[in-house]
Amino acid sequence: MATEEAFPESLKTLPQAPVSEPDFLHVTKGFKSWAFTLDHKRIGMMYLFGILFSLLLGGTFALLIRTELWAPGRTIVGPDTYNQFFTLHGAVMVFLVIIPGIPAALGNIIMPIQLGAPDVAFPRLNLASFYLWCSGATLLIFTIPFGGLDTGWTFYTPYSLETKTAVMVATFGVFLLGFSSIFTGLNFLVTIHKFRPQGMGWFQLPLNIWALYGTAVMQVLATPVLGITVLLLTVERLGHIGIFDPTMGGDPVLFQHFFWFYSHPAVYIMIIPGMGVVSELISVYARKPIFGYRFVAYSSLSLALLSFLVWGHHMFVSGQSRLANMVFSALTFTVAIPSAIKIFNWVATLYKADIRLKTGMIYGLSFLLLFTIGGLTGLFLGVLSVDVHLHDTYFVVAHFHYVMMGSTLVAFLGALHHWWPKFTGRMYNETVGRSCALGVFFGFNLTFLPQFVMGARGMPRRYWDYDPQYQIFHQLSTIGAFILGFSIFISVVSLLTSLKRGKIAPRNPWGGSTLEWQAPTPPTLYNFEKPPIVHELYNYDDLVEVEPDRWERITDAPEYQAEAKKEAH
Amino acid sequence: MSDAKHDDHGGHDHGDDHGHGHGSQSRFIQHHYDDAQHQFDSGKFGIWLFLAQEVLFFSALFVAYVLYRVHHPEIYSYAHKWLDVKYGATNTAVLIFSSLTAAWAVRAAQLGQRRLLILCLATTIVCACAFLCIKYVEYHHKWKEQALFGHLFDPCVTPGGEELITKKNHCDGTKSSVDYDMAADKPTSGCFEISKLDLDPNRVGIQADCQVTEVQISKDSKGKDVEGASRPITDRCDDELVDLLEKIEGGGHAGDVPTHETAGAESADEKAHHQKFPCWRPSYQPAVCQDLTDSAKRAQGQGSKPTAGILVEYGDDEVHRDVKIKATCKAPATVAPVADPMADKANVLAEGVKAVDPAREISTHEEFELESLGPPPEHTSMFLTIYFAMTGLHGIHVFVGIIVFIWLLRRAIRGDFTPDYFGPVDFSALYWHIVDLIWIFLFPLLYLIH
Amino acid sequence: MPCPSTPEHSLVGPDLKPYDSVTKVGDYEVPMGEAVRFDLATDLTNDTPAGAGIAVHANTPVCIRFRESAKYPVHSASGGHGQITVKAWYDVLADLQIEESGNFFLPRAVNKVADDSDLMFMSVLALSVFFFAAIAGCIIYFVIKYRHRPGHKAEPSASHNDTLEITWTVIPTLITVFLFWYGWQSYIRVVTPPNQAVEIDVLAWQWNWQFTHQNGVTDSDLHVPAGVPVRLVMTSKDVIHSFYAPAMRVKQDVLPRRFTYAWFDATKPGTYRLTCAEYCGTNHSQMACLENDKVTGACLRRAVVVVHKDLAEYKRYLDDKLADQMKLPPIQLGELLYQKKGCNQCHTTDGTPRVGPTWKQPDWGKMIKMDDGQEVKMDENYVQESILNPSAKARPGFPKGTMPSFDGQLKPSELNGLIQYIKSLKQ
Repeated sequence: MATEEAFPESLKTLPQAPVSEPDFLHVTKGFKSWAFTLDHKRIGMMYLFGILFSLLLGGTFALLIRTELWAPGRTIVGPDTYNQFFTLHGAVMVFLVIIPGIPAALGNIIMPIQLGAPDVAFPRLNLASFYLWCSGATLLIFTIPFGGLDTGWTFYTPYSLETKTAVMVATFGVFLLGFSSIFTGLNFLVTIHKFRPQGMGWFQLPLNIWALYGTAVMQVLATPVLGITVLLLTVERLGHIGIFDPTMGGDPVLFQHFFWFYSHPAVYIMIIPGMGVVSELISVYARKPIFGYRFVAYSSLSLALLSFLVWGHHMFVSGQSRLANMVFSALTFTVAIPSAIKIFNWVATLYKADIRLKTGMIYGLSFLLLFTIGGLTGLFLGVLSVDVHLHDTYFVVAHFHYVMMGSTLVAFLGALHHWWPKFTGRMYNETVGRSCALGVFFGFNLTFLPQFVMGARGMPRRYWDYDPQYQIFHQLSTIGAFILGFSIFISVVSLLTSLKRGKIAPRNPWGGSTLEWQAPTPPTLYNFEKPPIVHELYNYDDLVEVEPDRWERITDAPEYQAEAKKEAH
Repeated sequence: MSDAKHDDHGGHDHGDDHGHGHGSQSRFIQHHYDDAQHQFDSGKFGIWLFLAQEVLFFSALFVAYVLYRVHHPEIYSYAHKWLDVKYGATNTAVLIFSSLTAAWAVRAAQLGQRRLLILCLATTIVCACAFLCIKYVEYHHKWKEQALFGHLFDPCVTPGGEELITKKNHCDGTKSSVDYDMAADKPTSGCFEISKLDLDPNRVGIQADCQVTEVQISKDSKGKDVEGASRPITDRCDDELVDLLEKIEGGGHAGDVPTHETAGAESADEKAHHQKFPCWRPSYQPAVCQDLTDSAKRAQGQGSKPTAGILVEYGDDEVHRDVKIKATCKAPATVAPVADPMADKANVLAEGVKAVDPAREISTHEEFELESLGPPPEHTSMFLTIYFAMTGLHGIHVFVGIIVFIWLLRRAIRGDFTPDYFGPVDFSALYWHIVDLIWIFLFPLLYLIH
Repeated sequence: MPCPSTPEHSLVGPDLKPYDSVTKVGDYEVPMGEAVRFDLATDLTNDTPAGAGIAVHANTPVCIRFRESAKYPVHSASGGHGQITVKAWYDVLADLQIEESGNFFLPRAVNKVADDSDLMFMSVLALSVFFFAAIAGCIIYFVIKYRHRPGHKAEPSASHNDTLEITWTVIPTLITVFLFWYGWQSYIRVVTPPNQAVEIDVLAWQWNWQFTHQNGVTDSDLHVPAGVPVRLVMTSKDVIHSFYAPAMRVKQDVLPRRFTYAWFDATKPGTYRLTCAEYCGTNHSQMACLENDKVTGACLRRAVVVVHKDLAEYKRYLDDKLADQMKLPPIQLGELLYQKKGCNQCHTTDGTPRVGPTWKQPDWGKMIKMDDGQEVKMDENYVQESILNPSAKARPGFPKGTMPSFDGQLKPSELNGLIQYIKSLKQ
């Protein structure tokens, strides 16, 4: 039903904020009430601020890298410092921002509400995960004063065994971060299995929850391998046990296998939640159900499972057997299929839709375009003979930035804007949000499109110095990076200022049909004042925009309720 | 909703009265669960996921085990002999029994048999502790034999951990050694390379009998150049010190050198000097060095020339390169040709052992060597690395299990567990079973090779 | 007037061509073995140890053929100074401008089997552009057509369509099967070397390449023949490196304590880039950098792949480089000549006089007395004169005329070697 249509005036007077009890932000006060909270929303918000801080740090490193690469040779720093920049950029962005970004922060805040649950299954474990994340993050960041870190975020042996930088601190930090991730995944799996309310069958689950489910499977099953690997690396640094050290008979390539057995699924741990939130964004802002819901849901799961079988494609030129290369190449291509299905379904959702270009939707559409590029360039790398040429060049750098940043981070920003009013109770500035979203899209492409060309022309990655023929591409890239960084910074600042100055947010500003929009804004301690009613998923027929950025369900009008009661009698 | 006030022990600290109702029978049912069954089911699903995670956590080590075993079977068949099947088997029995008591504890908790529950939990804890004690004995044994991982693998040391020439004894630090070139009949000061060290008595040069005769320091502890600070070595430390002082300070005390005995107590001055100029000792027993890196060449008698090593102690502050050591050696007696190393094993063994250390016993390592296997293959330490990594990680899990079971025991004594609420016992027992299961895989893989 | 000699081969240096005339003092690079005409306005004199340099005088054109690769500092009488760098012809090749041709995306491939992978690259590119254009086109069209505006509302449409789903599952599947199969086929061709190949050992370490050819020649540039398969047998001394020659489309990690292999069959002579593609520490980006910019530290000359025009020229490289590498350091050369030229029959090196004075000269650098009473400084000049013109001066007890002149019998480097050897005996 469209906005212009008549709707009962009484809808306008429905309460927006919690009535009978304070919202979760105000239920208790003081430092302790946050530090020891078991409320998933508060834990999620603490994650969120930690992640935004890490994003600032990782972004700073990114800009330092891009500045250094303005010209061949030394621009601002020498090679050692540069190596530390790209290592810390990678480690901070991967382990502290992108992996926990959507699941641990936004997932923690939104998923139980969206599911209709009062909390996650194990609130104490949830808090423990957060503190593990904090400890891991502290250790990782503390490598900076303790000798830096210059191994690359992949910690490849034997270089990571011989470098004099603080590898042990970092790997132990990553070990803790790994367990934080495992516990979050475990918690989500149990929550999704055991906390679905009446009427919420598996195929009434929002696609965001399907995506988080797939992510959690990978978190629980892949991260332990990273855990043991970095633990062995830590012990190797500490006691020279020799398991990865070729001088003692160890096998450095075994490290790569172990590392990518985790880190390939990790790529999907990063991207699948992005796909989940984009499904929500597109559906809500296009006012249409996601086309081919089941195919999208299944493709999330099949991506999660296939991701365990393709780790070897990171090692096509590392000396593994041709048979292994063949198998991994074949399996890698299978990953392309569910990704393609998703894209086609999202595009089909836009057909005959009513598209509202809110900030969230601009990010959602950016995601579609960027992920398409990221996915298509992945085909180049899956073709064995082409990968030999492109492996470890800027082509790969650009490819995975399109996937990890262009897709995941863009989805994260979209999700942040989408749900920001729900958990903070404030509206952000739409104009600033939209301009920044466009800035992110433009800056991102300017940064990374030239890198595809550079890479195909043979510019290897992790290079402090380069041949002058690449300079023009590097300079374009650097300009793009600053536009990108500036846009993200402004949008985050705008969000933060809205905490004080933003308009009070209604219960349902975007007309979402999933359960979180039934909860008061901000939600109460156990999320709902009254048990939520599970309506047909992604059905927007009953929703009307009673005033700009405020939607209500017609059936919630007192008149309807009264009539329904009468009929029941 | 009426029972929300019972929730305070359940762990959520909000303390408000709002929420979903659950027909709870136990005060440990947390607020956000519908009822006891809901909480139990969630916990059970959670612990199974955790166990899946545990299996994958160990899986990398199993993969490493398999890969290295496929590529280097000789390492495994050689090195597993360091492990004592008796200890391993005992530990297996102990763990299986503790698994039984853990399972029994669950049953007892379900039936509300509190005493039996306490007994079972206590037995499990005792068994777990016994397991760790036996593990300690095993580890200690290997520590003594230097059958350790990575660079610490140095089984040439005598049993009992006596100081012989081990890797720790070379280069910068407190001790160093000198290589003596038999052919050129002159010592070349340098670090001992552990890879060149062999205590196998069936090798050329075992009888080399060297004595350090002179030590020269080119720099003092502060890094200043010292001219001519050398003198012959004697057995007496005090003489050493005094004489060295004389040399360096240009005499002055000639004639009435205060010996350790006459001076009574050391003056502060002397102490300072003592720190600055350390005590020199003569060499230890000689040992045989031979290039072990290329066993094929050795078999053909083409290994590098044998050199003898002599161990010398010097001060903490000295750097190896600042110390020059001279030694005299008697020419080595010729031993049976290397081509047939096992020709007359027994004889040579007796002779060799005598020459190396008259008083010591043969180490387990040497026993294997002499029995059939020869010296350890290259990278033998890899087996021990995997052994320590796997059993060490497993040991940590046992340790965590002990803590968990002590917590359970405390709660059981307090009477927390009822037929409605026994989740923690059930979940911990499942954890304990996986720990047990992992050991059941480790035991044959590590101890029962062949 | 060009130099009369014919060039040994027609290589071109970066600064000077064969037959070019040098008319003023400055920095020049001159190919070894080529004659260069010096036609100077002011005097150009050498500033190097005897025998090594050039002495060219104003208004006296002279042709000089350089046979030693070295750097010769030169000065002019008018005070200018510079350096003439004489390089071996193969080093001149390596210094040539790196081949950068190709299309916008790919550098020109010069490996016989690389065409397959390039074809795959361009096919995937075409496919990607098509799909991206289609998807982006749909998105933009839908966003414009179905944008929210007053009066517009979402129209009902099917929420799923199995035929459509299956279609867009099957089509990508077929495409990926195709891509995988042809990628696999071309990969097999790229990694399978033929039976007959020139084999070169590659050793990598932080941060250098060393290529060892079959005659024992080592070099940090990779010289290969065109038209002949080359197989690389690679290992690393320390960490993992990766051999990457973009123009060959060859990349292979180089691992410590393990051998890995790569091969290619270069089709076009030239100079091509060679980089390390696996991060290996501080100077990863400057692996085998031979010359750095003094201000920025940027690498000006990296190790390269030099493709020679045929096997014969590659062999010539092997021979010339071997000859160059067999050259002894001056002192050892002098010691060798001391024996070979028979100096040892008259001169000792232990301080005792024989027919001639001993070569052990403790008072090197000091004034010594001659038999006619004059004092001469015992230095390189004196020794050189004694070798080339023994009768010029005589020491007491060693009459003139005993020693024959060695003028013309010693190459400049040999003369220098003898002088350095004698100098080294002073203690």
